[in-house]
Amino acid sequence: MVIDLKRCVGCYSCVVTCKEEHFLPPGIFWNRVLVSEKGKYPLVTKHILPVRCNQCQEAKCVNVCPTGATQQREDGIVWVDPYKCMGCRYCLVVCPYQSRAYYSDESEYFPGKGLTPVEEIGKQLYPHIKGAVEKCNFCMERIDTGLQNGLKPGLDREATPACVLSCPATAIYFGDLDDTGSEVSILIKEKKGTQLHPEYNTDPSIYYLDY
Amino acid sequence: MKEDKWLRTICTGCYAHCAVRVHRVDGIVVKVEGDPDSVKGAQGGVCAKASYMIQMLYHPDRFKYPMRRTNSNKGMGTDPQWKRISWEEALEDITARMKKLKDANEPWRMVTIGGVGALPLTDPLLVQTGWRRLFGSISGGAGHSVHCGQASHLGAGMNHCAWSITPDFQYCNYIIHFGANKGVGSGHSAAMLMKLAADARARGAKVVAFDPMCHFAGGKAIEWIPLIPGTDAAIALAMANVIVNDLKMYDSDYLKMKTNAPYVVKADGCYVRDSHGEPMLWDIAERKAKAWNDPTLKDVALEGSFEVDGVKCQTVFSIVKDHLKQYDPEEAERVSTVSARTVKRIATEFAENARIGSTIEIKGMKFPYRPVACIMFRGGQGHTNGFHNYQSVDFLNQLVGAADVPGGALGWPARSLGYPGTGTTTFEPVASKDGFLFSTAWMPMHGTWPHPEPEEPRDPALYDIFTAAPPMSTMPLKSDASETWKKFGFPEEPFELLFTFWSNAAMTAGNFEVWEKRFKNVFTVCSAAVPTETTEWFGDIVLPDMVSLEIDNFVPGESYVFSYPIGMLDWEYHPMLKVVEPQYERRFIADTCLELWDRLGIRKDYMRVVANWLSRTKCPQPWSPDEKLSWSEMTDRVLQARFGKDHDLEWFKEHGFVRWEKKPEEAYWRWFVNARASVYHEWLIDQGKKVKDICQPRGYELDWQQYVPLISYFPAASHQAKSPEYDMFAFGYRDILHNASTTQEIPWLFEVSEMNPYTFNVVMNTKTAQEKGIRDMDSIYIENEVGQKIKVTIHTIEGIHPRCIAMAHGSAHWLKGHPAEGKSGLLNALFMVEDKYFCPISQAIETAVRVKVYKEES
Repeated sequence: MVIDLKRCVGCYSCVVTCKEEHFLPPGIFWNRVLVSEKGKYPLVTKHILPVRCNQCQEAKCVNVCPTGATQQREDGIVWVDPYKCMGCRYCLVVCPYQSRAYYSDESEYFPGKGLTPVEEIGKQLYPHIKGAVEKCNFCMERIDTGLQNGLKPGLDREATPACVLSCPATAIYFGDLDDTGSEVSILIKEKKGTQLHPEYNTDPSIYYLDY
Repeated sequence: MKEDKWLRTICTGCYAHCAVRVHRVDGIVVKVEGDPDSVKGAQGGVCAKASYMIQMLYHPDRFKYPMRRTNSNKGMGTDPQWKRISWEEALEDITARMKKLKDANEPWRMVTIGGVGALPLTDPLLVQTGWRRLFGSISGGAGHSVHCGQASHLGAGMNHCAWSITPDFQYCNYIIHFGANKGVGSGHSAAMLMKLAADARARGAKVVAFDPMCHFAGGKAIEWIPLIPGTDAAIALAMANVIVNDLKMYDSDYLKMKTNAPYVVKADGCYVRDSHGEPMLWDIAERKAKAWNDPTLKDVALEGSFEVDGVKCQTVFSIVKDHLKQYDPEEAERVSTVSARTVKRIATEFAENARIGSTIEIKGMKFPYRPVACIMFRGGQGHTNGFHNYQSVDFLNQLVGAADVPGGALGWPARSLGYPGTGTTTFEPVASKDGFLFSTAWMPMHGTWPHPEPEEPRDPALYDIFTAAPPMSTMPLKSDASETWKKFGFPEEPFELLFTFWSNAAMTAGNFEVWEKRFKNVFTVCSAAVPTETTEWFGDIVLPDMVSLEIDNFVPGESYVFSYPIGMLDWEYHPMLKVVEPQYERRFIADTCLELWDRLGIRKDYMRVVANWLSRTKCPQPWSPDEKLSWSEMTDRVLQARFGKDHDLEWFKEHGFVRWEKKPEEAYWRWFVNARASVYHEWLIDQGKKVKDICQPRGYELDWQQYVPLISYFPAASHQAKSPEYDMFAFGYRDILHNASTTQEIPWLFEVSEMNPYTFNVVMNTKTAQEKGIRDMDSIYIENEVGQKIKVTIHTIEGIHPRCIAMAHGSAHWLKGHPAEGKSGLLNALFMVEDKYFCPISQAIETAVRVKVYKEES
């Protein structure tokens, strides 16, 4: 994934669309937008940084998971099998990007007023397991279904992560980093994409442009 | 799953009305996405506000049945003790009250208010056409003070035949924002412009933001330039001075042909007119004055002094040039705190980037190419000098010919040669009085030009005095309105009935204290989806309303000059389309209005007036006035009338929208229309005189000095503080996550707002805070000059002018148990709403408030 910070306006569409896509419970975020500022008055600029699980190729979370719930697929996506997760949260501590969430208690979006129909149906469409850790999985279900239908992730909407599609500023790009001819590989090369905190030595799969 | 469907409609997270597709599974709406097949939006993306639609639809607090207040006490904190009533009881009661006013010939005792979020859906056809024109009630606006761009709508209407203007991001290279957020989150065509603006930044367009806060526009600008709120005109006019008098880089051809710069003016400031009353210009070749529309006119003089029939005169441009000399950049620096060097540099960059004389070819047609734009919107014009502030900024576009040409400042397209299949949706600017632009496609009950003659006010709205102002009266908001009404022979508190639709007027219209005093004893009917401050504290009858996913409505398609795709993006007509069936006894406000008009005997008139309005854009008669249609049936008829029998509502449910190719001469119409924009407002001389003649004998005084033809800088009301202790300017901004106030009741948007360091915090400059002994996250009071105060948590930042304090609009609800209760600060609580805090021409309210800040005593 490539995120072009020059294009991003910090609208949080990626955050909210992820909540819709995965029926995330209140307080659980698979991605965030970090807003801060750089410089001293009057030479100030706003710094907007969308973050999510970096899908590190040297993923510390995978190494520390005692049950094998956090695992890495062949295509590089790191995901959590909630049925194997015992909720020890070692991965939460070890993730240098703080990109994991622990789902502890069932709660309602309108507290005390019951679940809305969309929350109810979400329990069937995308169940969340109490006591498990969760995080961004690059919408792997979309990718897998898309690939099965002969679609190409990053090019075809049905095979592309929801946050990529929802960005009104077209700031997020998705594709195969192993393919040197892919749009993401070319963007990283031409626009000198950088990983977030490369010093953590985790080899993130998300690159930022104009960081 | 039994059902898994995607359906098309429009987003109502704000009034941009971006195209969306809605995912419905087993009858439940689970997702809203931008429509990838449409250009009315971000072409697949959509901003976070779209999620509003889902959680509003399933909001557990939604009203289900009509209700009546049983607690006779009203006001903040009282429980209305709602009792369910039947629709018939509700409608009978409301009709009886309305009939009484109508029979007494006092319909103006009723105020009708549509919410900001719903504005383009309800205001033109329900509030303005039905209630104001046919019934005679006064129309107000919720979110009026903090949201409405009174002066910018007036200015953009006059100069661009559009409701607002934006940079032509597709071709623009140098963009200046003055209190505007185009392309960075809010307002007209929000997501569409986010994409276009991102493309522009990516290809290297320079963005400069004059803004007191480095947030949306400033945060994405190459250069953020902080200024004192309301001093925009001092800067813009100094830039104009540099461009005209120092650099001499202006577009003479444009000024001669497309503005009134060459009109000749007498010593009294009025045009020299021919025997038919037409303003005259000086024909150089024939050395004589001719009317602006004389077909024999060749090259005209832009500058010079002449004599016409023995009367000495000068061109407008000569006078303007002289007038500008007083605006030197040093003076701008003193007023605004922006350095003179910066003003000169930005002026030079703007003029150089305008590439005056250059052309560009688009689809085989040659156009002037002016890739610069200077844009003001809500922020900059929300001052007592709103009219002149706005005009001074647009004047820069006019000077270099960057108006409605490729790369320049564009209005939402004002020229359509029609849908090819049927020829409907045809409209274009034409020349009206004195040769100025007039748009055939416009909101009902309001025009771009000429402004109606001021007359003795017929009702307490005083529309008849403020005839240039957009048609929502600000009088009900004013704390000193009673004195004014007394002067004009109206009752001190004229109102007996208040009807609000989808709005939280008590919280957002003006200042709550004033509102409470004025409306506490007024019978209030609220058509609303969810409880708001207005329904709970004031509502006597609540009518359960639908939300957009439950409604078929053609009005968002009729979005001339407001939200059609901008620039070279194709035309698209998008109605609002029902995605789920409404539940319980909920009814769309438009159907409620139709029923009330039926009972009041004006439904037939209404059908006739709406059909006539549609015919202004070449829509064939969709119905006979006798037909009793529902709003959904009206929608079906309009769609068929516009796009042919095969394009009925069912067709739209399947396809969502109609799209057709935009021609470059539609997108960039300026040189295809023989009409002009104003760089000199001669009309204000006459207007001022007439308004004065009406007002002064009554002892009603306005800031008369602003009624001058030359665009000038006037200090805003907030620039004069009673005492130096009120050293700060408090102002508000529209947050990217919110539209008006209801978006703050949406848990998804609420929890994301909490993630943002600005949205739910009130911000001030770190150094200023230190000087005042305030630390980050301290609890402080902000107090205005009349002792009204709010308690807020302060967040100290670098990116704000040291003399400013800012907060997001629509925050700090006080309805118990609602997500946004007590979050951030309510700027409205500090608004000074006396007459002298309103622009005397546009009625824009001063939205910067002089305040002092101090820490809560421990």
